[in-house]
Amino acid sequence: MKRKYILIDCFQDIPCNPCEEICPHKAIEVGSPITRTPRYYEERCDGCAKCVAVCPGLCIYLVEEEEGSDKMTITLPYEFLPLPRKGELASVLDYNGREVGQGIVKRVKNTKSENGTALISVEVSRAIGLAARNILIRKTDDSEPELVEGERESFTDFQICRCEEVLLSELRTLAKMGIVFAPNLRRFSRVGLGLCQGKACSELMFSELSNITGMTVGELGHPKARPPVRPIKLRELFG
Amino acid sequence: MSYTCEERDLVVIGAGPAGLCAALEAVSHKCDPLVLDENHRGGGQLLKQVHKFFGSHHHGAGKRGFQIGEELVEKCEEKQVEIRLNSLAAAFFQDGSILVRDPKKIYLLKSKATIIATGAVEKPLAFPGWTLPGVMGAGGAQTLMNVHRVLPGRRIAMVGSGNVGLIVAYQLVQAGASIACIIEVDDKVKGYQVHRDKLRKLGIKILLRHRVVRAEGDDCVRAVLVEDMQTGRVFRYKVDGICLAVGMSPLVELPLMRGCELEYNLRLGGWVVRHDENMRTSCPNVYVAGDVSGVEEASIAMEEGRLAGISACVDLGLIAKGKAQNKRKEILERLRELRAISGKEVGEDQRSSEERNLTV
Amino acid sequence: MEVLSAEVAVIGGGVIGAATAYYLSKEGAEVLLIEAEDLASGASGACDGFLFLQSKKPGPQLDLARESINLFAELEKDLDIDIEFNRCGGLVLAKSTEELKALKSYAKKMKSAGLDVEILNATEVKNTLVGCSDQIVGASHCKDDAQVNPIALTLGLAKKAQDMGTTILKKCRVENIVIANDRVRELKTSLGSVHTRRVVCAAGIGSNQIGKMAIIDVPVMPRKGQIIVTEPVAPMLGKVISDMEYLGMKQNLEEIMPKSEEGRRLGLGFTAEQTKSGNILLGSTREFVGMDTSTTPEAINAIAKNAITYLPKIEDLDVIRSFAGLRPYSPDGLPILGGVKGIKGFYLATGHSGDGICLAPITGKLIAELVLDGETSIDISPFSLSRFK
Repeated sequence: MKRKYILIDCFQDIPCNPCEEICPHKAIEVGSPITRTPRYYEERCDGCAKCVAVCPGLCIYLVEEEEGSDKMTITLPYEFLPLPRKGELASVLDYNGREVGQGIVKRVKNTKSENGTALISVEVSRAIGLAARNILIRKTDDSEPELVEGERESFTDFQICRCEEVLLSELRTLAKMGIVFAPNLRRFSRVGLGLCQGKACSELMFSELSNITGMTVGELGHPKARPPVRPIKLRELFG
Repeated sequence: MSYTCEERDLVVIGAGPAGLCAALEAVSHKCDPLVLDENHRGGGQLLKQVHKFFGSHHHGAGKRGFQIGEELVEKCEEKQVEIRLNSLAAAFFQDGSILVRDPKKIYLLKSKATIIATGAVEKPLAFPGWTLPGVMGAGGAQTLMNVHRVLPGRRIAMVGSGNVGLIVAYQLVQAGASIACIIEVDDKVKGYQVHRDKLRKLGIKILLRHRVVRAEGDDCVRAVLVEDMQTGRVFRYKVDGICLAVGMSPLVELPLMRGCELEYNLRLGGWVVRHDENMRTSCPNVYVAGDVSGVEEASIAMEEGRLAGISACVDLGLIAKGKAQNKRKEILERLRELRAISGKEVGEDQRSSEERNLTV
Repeated sequence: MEVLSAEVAVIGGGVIGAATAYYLSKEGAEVLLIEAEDLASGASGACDGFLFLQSKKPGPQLDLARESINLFAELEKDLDIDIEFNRCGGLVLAKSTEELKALKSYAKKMKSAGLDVEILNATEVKNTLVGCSDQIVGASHCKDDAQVNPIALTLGLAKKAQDMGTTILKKCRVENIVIANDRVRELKTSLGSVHTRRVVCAAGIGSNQIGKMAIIDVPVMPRKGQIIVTEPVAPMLGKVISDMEYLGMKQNLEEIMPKSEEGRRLGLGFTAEQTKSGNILLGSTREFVGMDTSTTPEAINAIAKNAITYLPKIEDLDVIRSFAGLRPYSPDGLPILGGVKGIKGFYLATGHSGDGICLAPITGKLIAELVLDGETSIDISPFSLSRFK
């Protein structure tokens, strides 16, 4: 007897229901509110794998197994290039990305209806079948990080505003002088008065001042916004 | 004054998901909106989103972000919504006029109603070495690879495990880079479990309770030093790129310049434009939608755009209040659903998938 | 808050209040500086750094300004913050022969008032100011004109005053002045009472309101000045620059004021200075629009036009910001300094009308003398409040 069913690794209440919407047989139910996790009714499912391709979370898998066989086929969503070829031997990875064995690629489906998420069907041994979640995409550089001694205590000063070249220590000195408003700290420190118009550094200034004064950013006030919001050439302003 | 002045009923600033939905809503009420965007294409941040979206069919769930953006632009074209691209809204003066700069000219727009949908900007994170080339916002990296087809680095450290950090890390791998590590100061992953799992299934680890000590390099980033905050041990990861995904700040300059009140809301990205449920700001006939009113998902931005479009049309006398109320009710219901993510955190759910599925 | 007391209370944490507190502290007075917001939150934080002798009316105003410039040199040494004082010299540009004629006769007056002014011909201007317009037919040059960073100056003065014993109260609003037997006794503030017998009002555009508390009319009104700022570039201007219309506006000289209706409405006069950080500040307007501090398309456009007319070489610079400040304008454009008849212990140091930065050191010094000694080393009677009666 053949059995086709899906596995859903969707454990968190997020607002999402394409699996429910695409299923022609109402085998998946999210219902209302939309944040509920999907429930699966195997008896209604015909194993069409539409849900596997549509799931934005890439977390639905189709399992095909046959009674008496020590093999099973897992169809997984796959979004990497190059795609594996039919008949190719693939390293099979589990939920934690650990290699758990090998499988043979039986089908590769990548038509318009999958919208870029290819369906890769891999035949694996029953022993690892239900754990299979991915196939190895490429050998990556997984060199181990190196332990560094004596890094923690030293304070290194650095620029907090690169346009106006203001050092963190300079900002702190000013803030400690008793400047209690963000607009004034901007005026005195020049953080945020440069070419980027504060887009890269205002936030840093807010949080630094908040740390020093113990006030919330909301209490520190927001500097005025002045035209133009992007640098504009003088001759353009000429009209 | 040598600036010409054009008069319009409704101006929408920003052709992202919020702005385009606002314009589409307005045009459905026989309003003739004008949409401004400083970029050369409409669609906003959707255009660099190559992953499939969550949500329901109302938000284009299951489609890829850029496809949703393209569809919105097509719909606007169908409805003959005027979108002026390469048109920067450089100023929003207190007299209500908007200074617009395009490649050829600069001019003023006076509108009866204005919807501001300018979006957000990435937050910085400062550490020694953060100014080195190779340190960039995760959104910036995403633009580089998905819009301009430039790989931002070969081996990258991602800072932040929110949805942006997780999604961009995954897309970096898709584009051919490798992820050296994902660094998170908190003790749990911030983004959705399914985004986390995409990386997990590739064997990419998220370092919880870790922080960046500094970036090393002479002319560009060569390595990042990361501290395990529990043990105090510091590790050096060799990388040529560091992506910062530590949140977004609403781009509030235009509404602030106009005189709209702000409020501070850390959960929504910091300083946001104060607005009511129908997206009206403290200034009459000025509305906000999308990230500028608080940083949330694109699907939420789209619904907010629709709300702002309805409010503008009500105030312009184009829709009866009763009809508007019904439309709003539906949208607000969907918004409630979208926002009703339960308190369940990813990090708390450590059940293995094997265990879970075997008990189905 | 407990009841405070001070020998002298200074109202206003702008450049005038900070300078007054500085000179008072220097003389050993025990000073309380009261600021409604934060230091340099008003006009002192939203202006350019012109120390422009050429724009001062020959007579008491020019004399005051010259004394003040000399004090800047001392302050530069005494303050712990770099105030970016730069004796760069200044130019007044003439773009027509009529303007040049008027400028020459004006320069004559300045010279006879003792100011070192020379007239440059078109070629000399070109050599002095690289990249200026061919339309410029001449200019007056004064080597004593200078510039300073007004924000650093305010902060530097306040900081030094604080180091010498001044107490600074921020976010503190003066709500009333208690006067008994014709003498100041107490200040009521949002943070409590301050016992003091001497109060200096250096509240800029807020002086009118403070005056009312002492039942006197201090005729200052806010006059808005708009300025636009370019990206920072390598030093290129060298001088502080103005045009003739600026002179006309500053001194109410009808014949050299702007001719256009728009220019009149905006009170337009061209100014340019390059700050130490490299930005070029382009100005400016003089508008009576109440408390509105917004910048306007009309002014930005007019300033950009002026800038390109005089300095065509900078047309490709990016403008990154605009700002506006409210100057405390007095009816004749001269500051209001000194005591007030009938109220012992109440002193005014306000109404600087756009010359606050330039006149701050001398104002602070003279007011400190007056408060502590009852007399000043320079006659300040031309600036008394009673001149308006």
